Amino acid sequence: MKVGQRYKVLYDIAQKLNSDLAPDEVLQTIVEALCNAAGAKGCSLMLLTPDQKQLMHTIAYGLSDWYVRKGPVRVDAAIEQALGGEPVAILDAASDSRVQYREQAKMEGVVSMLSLPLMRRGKVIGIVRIYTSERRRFSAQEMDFFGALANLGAVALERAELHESVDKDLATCRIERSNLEEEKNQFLRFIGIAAHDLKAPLAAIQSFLSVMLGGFVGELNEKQKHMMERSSQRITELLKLISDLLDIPRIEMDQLVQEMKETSLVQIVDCFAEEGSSLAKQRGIEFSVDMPPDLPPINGSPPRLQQVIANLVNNAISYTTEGEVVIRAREAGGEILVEVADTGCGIAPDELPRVFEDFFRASNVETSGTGLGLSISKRIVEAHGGRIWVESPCPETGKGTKFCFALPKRLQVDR
Amino acid sequence: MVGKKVLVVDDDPDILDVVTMILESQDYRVVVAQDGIECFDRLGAEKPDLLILDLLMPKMDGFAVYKELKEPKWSEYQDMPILILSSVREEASRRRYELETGQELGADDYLEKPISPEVLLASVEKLLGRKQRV
Repeated sequence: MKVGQRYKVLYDIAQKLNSDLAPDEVLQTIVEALCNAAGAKGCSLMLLTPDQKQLMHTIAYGLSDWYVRKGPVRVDAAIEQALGGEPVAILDAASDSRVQYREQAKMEGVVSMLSLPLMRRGKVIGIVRIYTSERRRFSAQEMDFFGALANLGAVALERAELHESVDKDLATCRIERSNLEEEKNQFLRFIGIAAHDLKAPLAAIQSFLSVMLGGFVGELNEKQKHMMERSSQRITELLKLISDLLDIPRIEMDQLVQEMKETSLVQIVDCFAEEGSSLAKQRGIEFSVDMPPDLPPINGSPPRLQQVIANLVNNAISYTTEGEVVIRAREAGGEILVEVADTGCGIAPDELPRVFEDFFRASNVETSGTGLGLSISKRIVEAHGGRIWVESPCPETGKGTKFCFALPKRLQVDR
Repeated sequence: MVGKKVLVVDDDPDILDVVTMILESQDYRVVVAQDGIECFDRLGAEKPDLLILDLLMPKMDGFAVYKELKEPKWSEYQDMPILILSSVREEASRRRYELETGQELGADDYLEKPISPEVLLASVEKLLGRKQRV
């Protein structure tokens, strides 16, 4: 075989193996290419069984079916040699005692055979055998070349198998993901119904109480009125607790992402400012907002962000008896930083790390909250890819508390 | 003068009672229905001036009632204001309606339960263009 011819063979086989082939197509390509390159009658590829004691014909070219199926080939001395990494040439298969199926070889018209080790990562995984219909001696160079071709095939085989297993894994992942998605949706539907069914009776009771308290069904004496007001207050708290509890899985299951759009924090704070001012007024404290009107937009869920603002401001107001509550916002790096600072009683240093935990309530004040407001706010901010933290006392004033959260700026896409 | 007529649709009989009590105290005439199908039965017979509509109901829910009312065959009711009264948060209902129909839930007003008599009356009065009685 001339050098130029070898290049051509090598080029053709590399070309074929480099396309997107399935593992059995790779094997077919190897045996065909080897057979043609050697100008032989046929070629077959036998892989070692897992116990390493036999070889099984995996694929064949140019051989009759019955010959290929004649049975497993025992690992004997000659094959041991091939498996050891050495090519084994047999000049006359019909008479060589190393051949296990001499009769069959004769009937098939096989005269000479060349067995080459098939290596994968330095380990022999089987052999490739070239069959000729005439007596043929293979030169050392030929044996080297065919051996290299076989190993090139082994590499391609490994790649194809990897591809196949990755494709399978991907398909499995897709199915699992869609199952998970369905489970998640089912759970969110369940949460939705649970929320409604828990709130409906309370809403009816609360509505009746409001009708009675509103004097729609006759005058109430002071005691009756007082007790009904207390009942009504308890129901309001319970309704809030139900909403908060059922909010947590909704936020954690990423339902927020569906609600996200270009959002202006200035608008969100403005929406809440009126309520905040009137609450502050009732408590006899100042309330102010300090935000640049040209604050860049963020990607967010407006009702959820409003929930965070309302929560932080309501907390600040209820923990402050004199002084002021301020909302500030500014752009800092790639983020929008929002601060809610108060001049209230502050948070004890040992309680500071726990304020964002579920059901946490500060011990220095009487509060009626669910203890979920800050933990929900943290979840909302984090679902927006942001962070939230607290400083007490507020570093600027040396008193009160400052809650801060930072949200990533919306990426501007140039069109 | 005869009071304006309000059709209240809610599957919760207690809510129907509460709304009826509140509205009748201000001389509104109240007709009730417990689901969407009953709502359409009453609509033709009673010709109400205002519809107060719950959203989550068996048989035909409030979303379906709202959507149906936007069809041309109900055009004689296109000026009838619709007040949604639901325990579902407003933005959640709006999102659901948009997702399911691709249209905006353009109700004239949206109140969340529990009912506050003052808020309900203020909304009804606003929608019916009637000044509050002193």
